[in-house]
Amino acid sequence: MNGVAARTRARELDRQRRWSVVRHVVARAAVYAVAAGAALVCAAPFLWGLVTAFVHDRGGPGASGGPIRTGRAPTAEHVRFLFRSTPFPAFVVNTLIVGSLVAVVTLALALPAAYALARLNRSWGTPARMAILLVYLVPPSLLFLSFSRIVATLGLADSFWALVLVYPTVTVPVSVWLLTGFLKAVPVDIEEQAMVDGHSRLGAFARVVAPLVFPGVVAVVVLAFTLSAGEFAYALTFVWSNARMPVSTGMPARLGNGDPLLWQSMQGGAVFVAVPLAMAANLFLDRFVAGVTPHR
Amino acid sequence: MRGVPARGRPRAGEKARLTDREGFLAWAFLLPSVVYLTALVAAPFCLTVAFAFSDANSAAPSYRFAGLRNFRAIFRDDVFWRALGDTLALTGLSMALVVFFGMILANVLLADFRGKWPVRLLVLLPWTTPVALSAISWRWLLDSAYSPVDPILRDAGVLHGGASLLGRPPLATASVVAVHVWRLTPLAAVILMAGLAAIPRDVGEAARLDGAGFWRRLFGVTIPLTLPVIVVAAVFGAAVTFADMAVVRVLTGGGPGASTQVLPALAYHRGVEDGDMGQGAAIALFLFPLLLAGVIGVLRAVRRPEDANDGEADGEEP
Amino acid sequence: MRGEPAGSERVGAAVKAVEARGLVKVYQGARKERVRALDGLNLTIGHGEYLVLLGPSGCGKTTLLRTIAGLEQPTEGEVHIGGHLANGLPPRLRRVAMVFQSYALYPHKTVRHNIEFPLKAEHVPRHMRERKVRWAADLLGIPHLLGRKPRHLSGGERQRVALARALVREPAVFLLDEPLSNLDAKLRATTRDELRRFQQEIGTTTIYVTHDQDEAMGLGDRVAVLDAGRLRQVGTPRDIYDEPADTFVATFVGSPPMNLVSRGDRLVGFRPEHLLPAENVAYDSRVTMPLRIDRIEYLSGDRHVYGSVTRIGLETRVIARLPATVITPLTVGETHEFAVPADRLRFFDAEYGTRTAPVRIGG
Repeated sequence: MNGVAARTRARELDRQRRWSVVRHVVARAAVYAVAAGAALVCAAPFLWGLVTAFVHDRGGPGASGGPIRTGRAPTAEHVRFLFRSTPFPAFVVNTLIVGSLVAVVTLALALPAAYALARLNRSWGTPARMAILLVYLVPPSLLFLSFSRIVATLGLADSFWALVLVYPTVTVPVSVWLLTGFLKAVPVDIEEQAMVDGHSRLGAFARVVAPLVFPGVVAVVVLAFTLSAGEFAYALTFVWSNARMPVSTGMPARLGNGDPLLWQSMQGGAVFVAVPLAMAANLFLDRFVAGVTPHR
Repeated sequence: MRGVPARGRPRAGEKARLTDREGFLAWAFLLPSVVYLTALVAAPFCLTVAFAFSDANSAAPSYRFAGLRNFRAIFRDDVFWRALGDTLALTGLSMALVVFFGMILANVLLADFRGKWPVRLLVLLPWTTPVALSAISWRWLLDSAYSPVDPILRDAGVLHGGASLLGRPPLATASVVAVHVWRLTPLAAVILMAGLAAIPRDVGEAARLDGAGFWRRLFGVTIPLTLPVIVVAAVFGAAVTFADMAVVRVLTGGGPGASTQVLPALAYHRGVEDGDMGQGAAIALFLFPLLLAGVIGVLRAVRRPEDANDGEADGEEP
Repeated sequence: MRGEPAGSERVGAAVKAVEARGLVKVYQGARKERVRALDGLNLTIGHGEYLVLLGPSGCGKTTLLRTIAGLEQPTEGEVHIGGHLANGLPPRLRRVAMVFQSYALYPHKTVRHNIEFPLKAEHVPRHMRERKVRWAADLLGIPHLLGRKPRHLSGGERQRVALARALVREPAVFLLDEPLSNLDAKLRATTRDELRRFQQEIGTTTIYVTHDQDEAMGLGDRVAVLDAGRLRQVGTPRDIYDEPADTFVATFVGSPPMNLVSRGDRLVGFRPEHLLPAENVAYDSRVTMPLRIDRIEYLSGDRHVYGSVTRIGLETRVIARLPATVITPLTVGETHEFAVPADRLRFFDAEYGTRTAPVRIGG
């Protein structure tokens, strides 16, 4: 009697064991499927752009069928055109300059502010942190009209200095938020140890705390760079000369209305800009996650 | 008694420097940011309000109070109402989809699998790429002589005649939503990853031992514990979608027939391109109450865990 | 509280190494209430002395240490270090060295640079720095670790590095905040011994915070018992154990703690090891009481007898610790006559818990 029950039980357990193996396999397959699908969807326009950037011009619109069916070897003609005969290199240089300057300004403002909020316990600490975070949510579209007036008054109209002045309004709040998380992860003991070891508060910050949040600093640089490279509304409003435009407005405004040749070149340009930025961000994805996570 | 090194006493002669004082440092560290943000966010905001009640335009930059005339003008304007409705619908729909896909993506990105690095790289592309560039790429993909989508839709009978994908109102709106979702899902996923990573491991494992399956764990443990982060992700995404004009401008240019016009693009159009700063400002100002609602949402979501933290810290105080 | 600390005359020197006068520290609590972490605290530490601050967690001992270090500013009162007023001086000017509970090693620096760090802060010339680092490393037996990063060190090694770093400054005072609490039990015992020998070798005044009474009794020249921000008693470990100033000290120190039996307006206290079966206590001066035995534990040779006593006061649950030499057979459930030598009884005020003069108890 008991033997039968035990055998039934064993068979039941076996069944469940097999079932859980199946479930595991299905779950793994789902993870891979979603990952692959997401990667494909996310990269779709760029992949398409990359392909079309290297195919021959079909000779004007109207012809039916995809460009791949032309059956000719890939060509670097469009890419060469992009770099030789369009202002694209100037756009990239402008973006790099603006991004670097914005990153420097952001860091200079945000690191001390984040330290003040994370460590120097004042009664206004939490409200101040909230207020700075909320500034991030104020959309550029609410401000650009006023900014255009301010920028004109300061004599910065049609100059990328206007962007250097204005972009930190976007980057500083996020960076303060991010760095506060990083700074809170540095044990207070270590800082106090540095103070007992003969440094002032400022010295402890500079010598011990700042090196320890270096990954956060780099994350902020990447973030500031990405945000300022992607900004559109301000760039559109403040800069209108070809030579001074950044990529984000330069490409749609100067290239986007032309012939298919330009369009094809531009796809190459988009990939050229997008991939390095994504790679930089990918390097610091884990840091971003760590920085956003509330630390106890 | 044992001898004590002569230098082993406080150097009372030296005074505490300014750099030792917490109070001073706190101000010195925070003030630059506060001054900067006040000057370049608070002040322009007030200026925008002032413009909204003036007849300022780019031709005659003098300020004259105009009362509610700008508001009356835009209230009578069909385009404005359509843009307002479109903006809201676009934002709401995009956010629902962004949070949904973001949650899936965050879970997958946190899982272990081979080839994680290239997948993450590709997934980050939409977020890190300048939005105008991605909009160009999308337009190229959806609506050009080279589009692979166009012929497929034509074969399927969705499109016919001369109109292209972005030239037909419902499809154009859907495309705009799709691009927003595509662009913001990675950002939401990164924020949600942070929330998911912060769930103590043992909570999930305890639920597993209690016999909870995947769905029960998702709705019983994961979502409630990450709710504040979900709200943050949604509001951040909403703020970006809501304020965005690049996608609409590049993808559809507001068309066809102002059917995808959104408030920020309209404000830009009126305020900068038409030169009527007063009306532009008045339109932009309509973003504010909606923004405020979002702000309150974030505040409530973020404040709760903050409070819990304070309690913990005080409990440890010797 | 018993006025001035009992052991203070032992210290002798005219200028004290550290003096705390009327220290009050008030924290703003979470719910807007104010917490008095230090509540009018006076304490004097002589040169070369090893003083242990002992108390339950939250008693203010760490706050006191941090106030001496300058990491906290007292709400009221004064801190003197080496005869100079230290109030308002930042930590770096106080010539104190602190070892944190977590050791707080700089994770991005090697052991050598960790130890060197305070010297660099004082702009000590390079050859001097190298000499001192070597000296400290030799003293603590860690020269082979100098090139490593803290994350590659074991708990005991980290602790030594932290001590070496504290040592090179030649501070007026060492402040140690529960330095053994992160070590496992076995390592703790050996390290305790080493800490003591090390301090005797260099002779620097040391203030040591712990909640572990074994550490406190084993290490301290004197022990200061704190509770709720107040000093309960300061004295040699022997004083603290044998002559507790009040019921808090009596029950906090000792394991198992002192038995307290309520008798009128007094509490009668006696240590578990003094409560023995009556036949083991000299007949002439003893106080006997019947003990009903509930439970017997057999711990490393000793018998711990749990039960309740009557006759000398209200019926009270007590613990008796019988050494292996006491072989009286005892069984659970029986009532046996126990006794305490009369000179081992301590008396406390029932209302305030303070020590009072002995009362005669017949029997």
